[in-house]
Amino acid sequence: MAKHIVVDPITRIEGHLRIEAVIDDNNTIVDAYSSSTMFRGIEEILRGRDPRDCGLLAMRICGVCTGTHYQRSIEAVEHAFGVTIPKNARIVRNLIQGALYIHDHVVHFYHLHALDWVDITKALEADPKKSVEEAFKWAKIAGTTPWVADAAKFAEIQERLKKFVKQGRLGLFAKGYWGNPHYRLTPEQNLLAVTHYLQALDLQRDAAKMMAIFGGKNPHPQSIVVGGVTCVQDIKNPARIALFKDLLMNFRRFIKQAYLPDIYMAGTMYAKEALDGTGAGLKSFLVYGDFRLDDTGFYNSKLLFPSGVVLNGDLSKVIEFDQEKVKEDVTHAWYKNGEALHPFEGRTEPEYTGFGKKENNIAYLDTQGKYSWIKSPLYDDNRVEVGPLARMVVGVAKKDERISEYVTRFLKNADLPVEVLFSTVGRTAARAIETELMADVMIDWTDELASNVAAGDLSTWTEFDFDQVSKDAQGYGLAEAPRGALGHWVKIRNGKVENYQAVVPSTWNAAPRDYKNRMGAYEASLIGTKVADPEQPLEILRTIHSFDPCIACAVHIVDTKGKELGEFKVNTSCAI
Amino acid sequence: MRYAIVGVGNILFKDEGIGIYAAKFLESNYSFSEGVEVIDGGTLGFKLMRYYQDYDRVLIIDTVSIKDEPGAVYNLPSEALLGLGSYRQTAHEVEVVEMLEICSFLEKMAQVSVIGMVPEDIESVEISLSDSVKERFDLLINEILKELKQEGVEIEKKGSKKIDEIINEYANPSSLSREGFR
Repeated sequence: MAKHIVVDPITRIEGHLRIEAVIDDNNTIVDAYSSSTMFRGIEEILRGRDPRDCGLLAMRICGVCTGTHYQRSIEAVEHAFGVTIPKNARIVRNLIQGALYIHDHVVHFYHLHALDWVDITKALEADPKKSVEEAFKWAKIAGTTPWVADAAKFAEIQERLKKFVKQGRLGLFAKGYWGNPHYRLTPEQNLLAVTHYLQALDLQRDAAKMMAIFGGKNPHPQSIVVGGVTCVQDIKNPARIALFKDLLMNFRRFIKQAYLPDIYMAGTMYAKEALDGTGAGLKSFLVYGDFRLDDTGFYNSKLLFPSGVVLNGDLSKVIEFDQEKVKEDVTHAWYKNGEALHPFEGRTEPEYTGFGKKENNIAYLDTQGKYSWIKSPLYDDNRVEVGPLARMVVGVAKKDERISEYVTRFLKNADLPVEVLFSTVGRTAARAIETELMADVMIDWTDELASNVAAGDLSTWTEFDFDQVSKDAQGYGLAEAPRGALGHWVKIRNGKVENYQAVVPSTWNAAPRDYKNRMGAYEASLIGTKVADPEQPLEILRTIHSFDPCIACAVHIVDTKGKELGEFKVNTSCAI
Repeated sequence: MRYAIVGVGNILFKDEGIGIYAAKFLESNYSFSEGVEVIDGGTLGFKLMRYYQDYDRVLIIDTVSIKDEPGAVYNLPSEALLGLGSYRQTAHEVEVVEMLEICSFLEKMAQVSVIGMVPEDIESVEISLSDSVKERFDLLINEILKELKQEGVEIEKKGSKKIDEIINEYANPSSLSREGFR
């Protein structure tokens, strides 16, 4: 008989996400539902405001993607006003966003995702000398030398782990599904990965410092304004640019000597799951495109990550992206019904209908009706996935030289076919490939900024006449957050925001079913996955974490724990 | 000693902004002995890790989802946080505890504690505070000041900005956002 597995909340993510999966007698997932139990209300806050203020409020949507939302919101307004930013501003914005990428991706892999692949308890059994051999082996495959290859260091980390276990202070590690047969690394490999986990914890501070050099006040960057950037003093000072580059070089070394080798290791040890396509899901991908490489202006510039759509895993065809084809459907989301709308016309009118049946004290989602606070975005009536995998897939399908080079090299070194990209392992690998690419290209950008400033160009802001441009305007800021395609759409009338909608990466990926009952990306990715032990939904976490879920930005709170669900009422003061 | 006072929360959801307003209130009205920094942490996520690593002492100001009347103030040491399931109910609180767990593996990390207030309304999309919470805002501030004094931080009053003015600055950032150009 079919059994229900409820995972709520999915731990190690930024917020509240609930997954319900149905497994058959063979412990294979046959149905899955993704629900966000939190509501997001930024759209209501922004209506009627001065459009130049949107960025400062939009960045409060989420603490992790603060800068990304801030920048998108400002770009939406710039696009509406027809303001083109100077070269220095473009490069500085790329560097701030690039630093966010490498920081987020490294922290995501080691601190939010690695323990889905790494059994930390097995590291205790490792022979530290053999971990040295492992370190050399995987670094060699990655074409480099190991970040750490010292038996004494591995032994020291192992001692630290033992001490923690003895003291019963396993903290986070106390919650894992240790010993699950679907963990596939050897004790020595586990110790190697745990060592990198701890070193990444220290190193990620450098990436945070990089963001602060041009971003100004950390954690809420305030150096980006409509028309450009304000950090003139920082770019005028060669020592600041040099410091940025130093931090970048060191962090890049870790990416190449630890992160990539670990991904080769995981890719090899989990090759079976990669080859059989576990976690592939929709195999349809969307990229809005981002990181302008020249100054030809809005949506004309050549991009580091080109925009495009690939459907059903067909790499031979790329559909050109057209933002007019983005729509949001609310059939299964807790909003008032209506046809799917483009974000310019988008509405946010809550209609909470609660959960469905209750059995053994567990309330289940009403999957026939509405069951999530996330809307279901559609691209030209297709369900799609966004994120690093989408960017790599679309880049390869578009024959983008740089992306193809990095992806091809990775697959060749790992000795795996291109099809492995369509899997949970592939999604996790794509993020690492992208991280290396980003760290490399950021070196070029840093040099480009330094030489442009040295040549005497200190311009960072384009002047505009607010009263003139803000009478009746609309625009969009379309970009790629580390997690995937992020868009802010704004309509302005008489100097005030008339309508505002944000469609964020986790909206695309974590969305519920749509009006045709087609699954969202998370939901589809779980179908067919075999669970080793239904009491330990390790495989579900592994696949969902591979998307880097961020629900804090998709939504806000509705308590589903500890309260009688039937009593819950949404405060309707936010409804129009 | 490097001491960080970090206000966390989300100003977009009414009382969830308490921590942010309290931090701003402290920054505006008091000066502290050297080494003490007041930080607007927002809904920081894993970037909180950096504070845990960079400071000797981190005092988080936050909302707490404890079943009690709105406006009740709690002073929670880190041991309590790690065992406190009900603290994990809001978007940012998940992270306060998760990051604590991740960092507990480091050889050295800050001593972390939370002073928090029970909110009345964290669902309305409004940049404001409920009356019940605002009435007891002084209680929250006094608890923080008391904690700081006990730990030997010197405090000097330097201003008398009201909580309403602070909220207003966050609700209408126009003046601030345009300062950048000049």
